[in-house]
Amino acid sequence: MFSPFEYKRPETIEEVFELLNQNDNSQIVAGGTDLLVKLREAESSPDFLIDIKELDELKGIEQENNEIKIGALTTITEIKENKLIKDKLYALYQAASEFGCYEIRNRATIGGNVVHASPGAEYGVPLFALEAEVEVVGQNGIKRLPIEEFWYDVGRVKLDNELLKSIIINIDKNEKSSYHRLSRVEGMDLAVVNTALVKRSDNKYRSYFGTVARTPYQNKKIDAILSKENFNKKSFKKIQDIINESVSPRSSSLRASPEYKKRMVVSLLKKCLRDIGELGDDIDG
Amino acid sequence: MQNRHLSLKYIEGEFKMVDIPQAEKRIDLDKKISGEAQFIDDISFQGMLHALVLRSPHAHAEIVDINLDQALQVEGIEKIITGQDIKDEVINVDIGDHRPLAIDKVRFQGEPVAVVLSEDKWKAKKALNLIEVEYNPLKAVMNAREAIKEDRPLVHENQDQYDRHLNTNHHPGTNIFRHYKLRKGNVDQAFENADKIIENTYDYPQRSHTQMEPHGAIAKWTTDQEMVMYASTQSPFFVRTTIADMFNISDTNITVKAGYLGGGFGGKSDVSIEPLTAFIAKFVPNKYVKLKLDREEAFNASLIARGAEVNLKTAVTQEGKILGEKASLYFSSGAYGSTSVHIVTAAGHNSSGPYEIDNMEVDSYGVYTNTPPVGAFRGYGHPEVHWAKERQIHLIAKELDLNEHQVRLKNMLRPGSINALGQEIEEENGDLIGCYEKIKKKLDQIEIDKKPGKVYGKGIAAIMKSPVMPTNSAASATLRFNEEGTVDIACSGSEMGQGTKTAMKQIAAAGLKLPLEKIKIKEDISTDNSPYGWQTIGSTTTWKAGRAVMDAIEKAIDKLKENAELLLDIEKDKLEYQGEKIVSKDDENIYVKTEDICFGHLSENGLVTGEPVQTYGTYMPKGLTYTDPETGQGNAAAEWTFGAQGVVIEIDKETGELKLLNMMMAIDAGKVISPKMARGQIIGGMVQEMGGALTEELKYGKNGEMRNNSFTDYKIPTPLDLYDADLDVFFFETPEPIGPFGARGIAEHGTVGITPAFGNAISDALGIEMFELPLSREKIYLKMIEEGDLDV
Repeated sequence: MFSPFEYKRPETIEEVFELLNQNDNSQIVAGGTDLLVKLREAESSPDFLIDIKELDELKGIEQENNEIKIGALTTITEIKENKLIKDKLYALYQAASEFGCYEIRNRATIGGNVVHASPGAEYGVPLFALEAEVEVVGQNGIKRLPIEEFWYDVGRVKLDNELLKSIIINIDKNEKSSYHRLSRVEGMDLAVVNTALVKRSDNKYRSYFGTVARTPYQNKKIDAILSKENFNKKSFKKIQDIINESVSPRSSSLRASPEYKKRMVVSLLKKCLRDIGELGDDIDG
Repeated sequence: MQNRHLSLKYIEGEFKMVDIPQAEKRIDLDKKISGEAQFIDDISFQGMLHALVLRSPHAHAEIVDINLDQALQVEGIEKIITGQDIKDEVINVDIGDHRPLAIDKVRFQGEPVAVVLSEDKWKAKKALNLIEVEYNPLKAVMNAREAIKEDRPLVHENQDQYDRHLNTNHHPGTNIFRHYKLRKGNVDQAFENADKIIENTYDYPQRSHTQMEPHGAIAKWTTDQEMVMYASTQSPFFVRTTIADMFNISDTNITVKAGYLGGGFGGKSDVSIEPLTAFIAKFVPNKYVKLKLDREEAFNASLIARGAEVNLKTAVTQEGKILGEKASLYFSSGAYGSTSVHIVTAAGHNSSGPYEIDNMEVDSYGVYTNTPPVGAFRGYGHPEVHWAKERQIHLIAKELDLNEHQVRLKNMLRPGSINALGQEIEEENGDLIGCYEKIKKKLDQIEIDKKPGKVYGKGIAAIMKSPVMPTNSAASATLRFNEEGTVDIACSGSEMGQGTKTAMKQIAAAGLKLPLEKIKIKEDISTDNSPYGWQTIGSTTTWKAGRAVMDAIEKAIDKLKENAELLLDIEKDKLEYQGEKIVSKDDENIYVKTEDICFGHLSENGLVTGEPVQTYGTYMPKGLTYTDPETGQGNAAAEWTFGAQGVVIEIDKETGELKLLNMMMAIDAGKVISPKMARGQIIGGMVQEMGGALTEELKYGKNGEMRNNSFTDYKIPTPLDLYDADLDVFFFETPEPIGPFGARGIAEHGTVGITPAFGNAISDALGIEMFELPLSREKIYLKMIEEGDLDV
């Protein structure tokens, strides 16, 4: 059951800020796929529910010079079906394909997924690996900051009476990308572990791992190993050792034990490398 | 089988049927698709109160104090009820160990402590948050193994003082509320003679039924003696009796109405939330009170399922002949025992699996634990023991370096074999070996398209199943010919998605030799005027209620012939009933139309000859007895059904991800009434049990709190898990002498052997042996590493 609230549907960003100023206990809703669960469990009982789905300025996917800009209100289905994304940012297409279920993908937005800042979020590791930046709009205008600065802890992003406007990715810097996730069933599930790998134009690799730390996790030593030539079986052994030493996923997780998560990071990395074409069908790497 | 009432009349002679008429669609289809079908939450009444339940946050604690002062200040609250309001109301299904609300102690997290009634749910919620309860937490016991230890806390301190409907062989001063003992032959001798003794322990954790519709009930007391209830229950008559007993009033004062259920699977059998609903409604006479569980409550505050640890010690010869077996079964049955007494029994005598074992010693224990109570769940003890037995057979073969099929076939029950209960198996019980050979052959024929990085396995299991029920669990039906020659039939059996009413319509059409359009089946049940049916459980409705319908049909045909006799002046023995008409056996040109005499015959001058044809039919299982308390032998099973199951799987060696490629069952169904629905039932059972095999498990935290009481972390299979799978069902038809046209029940059987089929397939793929369900991706992967199969 829901606590009683007033539903607001502003049509401009200005109206959103007016409403936020009117009532401290307001909650912004886009797709609602995370928020409605909280409302039902009475974890959250706002006075105003401000539905921003009418804000056209926050929608759409477009390319400007060497950047692709994804509006925060772009739905996961829109990302999945966008040719530009599939051609240039394959990891984001893969993440959209794995995201939730058919119905959720039609509703959920990339912005909602990002501001929710869940450790295994579909749009955590790939955006971090792609060095994405975010545009944030406030009453004093728009600012732009790197995603790893914006998304700083579990469920925490840098928004202070502001809205996430868009996500921007440089397509010149990122040559190829891949995303893999592991779940417990083939149907809808949260990621047990997820991994994104980007091969950059300078032939360097960036890899990020989800659910093993509070935010998407990167280890420069792993990227250094990946970036070296003559990649072989021993390299994976080294990566596994680095992971074992450097991360300690919480043991109370219902989805997987720390040991399994640590192993899966490496297994998914192999799958990403295979996608990018750096590893043949030789399964042992 | 001994003491068995045999009657072949429905499979031979007059009723021998080649084809059962097939319905174009289920009779509930249009209503369900259009949303017109009513479920409990669709029903509401003016002025109806909503009941919100304050539940224990502790798995085991004393209630020191409950303070309602602040909660009662909330405007719009009609009434708050606590355990202090209980006088002598006890819920007694088999053991009187349960009260509608906790009184001085809570025994599981989720147990009702207080109930707030209000017309406004949100106000009720506000009041609920203001109730202050002081607890003194106690140490909790979460599984049977812990609960039987010397220094364990007792879930019930005085179980000896509880009323019991039957001898449960409980152990006073312990947590054991049920001990089923089976002693057959000379086990010690068998173990002495054995070439090898193979011992393993198998774990099947607790699960949830996850019905699409959570439990709900609406009750209103019209006087302090009379109550009407709408409930999402598989067992309206049983609910009625249990509630009447609780208030010490007559059954006839209680009316329980049950319409469509959004799934039951046993979790809505016996009683769950209905006694509580009746109890709280009594405080607000003449008002309807609705208690509807939300999803989280359906997990931790209704009935849960399974939860067994099975230890098997099997004495075998070098050739794989089973000489004897010692089995110990420990059921983590939850805080109250009534709803699982018979699961413990069923599992006990089915621990043999479909094999003839001359020397057996079985001890099956129902043990109190601090979890929600365990109740019936599709398979009822059989999946738990088949997980153990069919893995054990596989391991015996592996240990002896024999072919597992040979080991199975060498030991299988066949006509003339004596089963664990001491019953002799006959031809009519079905073709176990035929079913097994069919699955074996089908598995052999499957050629796998192998991909790099993946490994593949095939697994098989044989199964048997019997309904376990009270010896007097009756079914019944009423039949009424209408003036126009159509027929109204009502019979026991709740429609909970299984299609039972459509099957009854087909059975009736076949029995009456009338087109389907002429038959109308009543879909809902109201205990004040519907035919009695004990419960809709145990895969017995087609078999038992179907038989009652046939009984009513037989009587109706007799009455029709009496009416025809009066009209035609031909003795009824010389008349043949042909459906639309009744014909002289001597001259087929002499006949009357059924529609002209079914309401008596009205002649031109208004004179009526004969009587309206309205009949009833009943079926009471024949020759059932209680099992002997010392030997566990007795005629406890009214029928047997046999079959075999198989799976083919693919495993990703990098992640342990398991993908289903094939899943199949061969079952001796006696007679298939509706091939489409029968296939659906078997596949539904297999897929539901695939959840138990691969992902489903209730997980508890340090303090005994259920941690995954939502679909976020309780994962069940969905169509995507079947995306690449071929599903096959093969029916054998050895007629069962009681069931209509030889039909057996098939509702649960799909579940019985799926878990060992998966376990055996994993063994085949990777050479690793799993003993604990579920066989999650993580467990498979970590076991691969442990066995050194990977070099990462």
